[in-house]
Amino acid sequence: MKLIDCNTRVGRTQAPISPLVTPTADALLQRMDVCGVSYAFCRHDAGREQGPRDGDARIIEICAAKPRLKPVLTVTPLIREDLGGMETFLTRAKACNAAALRIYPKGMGFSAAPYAMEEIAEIAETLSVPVMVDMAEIEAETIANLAKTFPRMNMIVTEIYYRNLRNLCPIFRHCDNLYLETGMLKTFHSLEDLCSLYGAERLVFGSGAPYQDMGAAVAHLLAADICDDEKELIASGNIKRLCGGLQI
Amino acid sequence: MSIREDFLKNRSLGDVFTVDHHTHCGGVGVFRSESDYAVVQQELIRLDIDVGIVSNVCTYDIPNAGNDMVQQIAEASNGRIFGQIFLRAGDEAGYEEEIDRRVKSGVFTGIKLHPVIENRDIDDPFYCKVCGIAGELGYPVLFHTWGLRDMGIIADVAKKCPKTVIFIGHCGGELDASLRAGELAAQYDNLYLDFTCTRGYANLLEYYVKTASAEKILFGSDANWNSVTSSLGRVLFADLTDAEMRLILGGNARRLYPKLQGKA
Repeated sequence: MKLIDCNTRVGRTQAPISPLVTPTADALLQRMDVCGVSYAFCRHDAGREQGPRDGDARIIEICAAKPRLKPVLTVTPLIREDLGGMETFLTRAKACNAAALRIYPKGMGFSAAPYAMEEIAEIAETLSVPVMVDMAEIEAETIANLAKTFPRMNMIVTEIYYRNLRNLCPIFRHCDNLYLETGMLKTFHSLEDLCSLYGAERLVFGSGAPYQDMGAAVAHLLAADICDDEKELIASGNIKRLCGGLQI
Repeated sequence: MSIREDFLKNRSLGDVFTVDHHTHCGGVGVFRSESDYAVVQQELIRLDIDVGIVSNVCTYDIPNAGNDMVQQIAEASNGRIFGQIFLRAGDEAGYEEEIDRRVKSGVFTGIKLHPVIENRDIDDPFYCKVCGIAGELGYPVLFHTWGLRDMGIIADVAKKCPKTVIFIGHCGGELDASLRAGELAAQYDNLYLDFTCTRGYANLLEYYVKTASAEKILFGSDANWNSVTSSLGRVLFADLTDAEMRLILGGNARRLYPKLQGKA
């Protein structure tokens, strides 16, 4: 079964997240080998720490040299001010085959209300890529507003703590363009329950590596009590579909 | 074939003696979870986990009702499930009789204490008394712990009760506490690491083996709150030898829990 990890990152942060982790592309690829992960969507933490231009340039360069890593570009609602304008950004994103966009509303201090997110939604739709956001970066209310306002923008909520499901399930029920990453979604029987309630089409495999354990995410999916077809969708099928039929 | 290869092929643990020493029964009010322990038992069987150890920390309004539920589950399990006696400082009256009654039932093999839900400290006089009794009985005590402050306190309790095997629940939860927990397990003979980590910090298990040795670590999942498969993955994909994995998955539990000694 081919596994595409939609949620990985490289690059140091101002305050080190864990003394146990070396956040380099080589270390990530080594871990992917151990865990049987074929490809990974990868962001650079400089995108959040130093701004999207710097972070995006770094992840584009890394992914160009490591074809198993696919670039996730950091964006803010200031497309013109932070990213050189819509055309410039689209050209850059197409040239590097950007796999997804990543936003950090809380960490980077901006509103993700629909009025601020119009251009990002347009970019995501033009590129046929999803917008990803960590659960800790956004309120459930904002996720619901975004998903309803921009029905053609696909959103993947990542790093969902096991206590978040009560918040997310009502949104999930009403918004077909919302997807959940499985890495930290490890409430007992969460995959089984979500597949049965909403369908495997709504889940995408991710780990949160290198800070979260990739092996936990892999075992969580591979040993889940769901059928192989559902596992295939979560492992790679859904993310490929969300990326306009990504060929990897 | 290595344990990991076997798991990848069969999606279960095969003949590796495995004990999930940290499971729960009972409903959880603060988030959505499975409240029927039969589902947890099915999961243990599906994954070839030989033994589950369960406590009920949720039944707070009727003293000892949680232990009744645990006893019923364990008695009906044909030796696959054992209980931890859950004691609340708030229900101190009659706690010695409660311990005695549950020990005599033959299906309990440890004690569970959860200071956080009682808004108390680990070194609360009640918990220290319970630890003393547990040491005499040879029953290990699983303390829920969370945060660096708890690490300082649990070390004091371990010093006061050297005959009692104490598990540092969730390895302290937060990363800084988890790192400290490894140092404490190395320092104190009677402190062990409950590798039931709500947060899945990468490389933590390798750090523990290096710091405290594989003999000081026990596998747990926190089901019916957290996933068994995810917890297993943290052990099975770690950079460890099969011998180390066997200790963590079940060997240490067999040595430390009285009812598991001699189980294969």
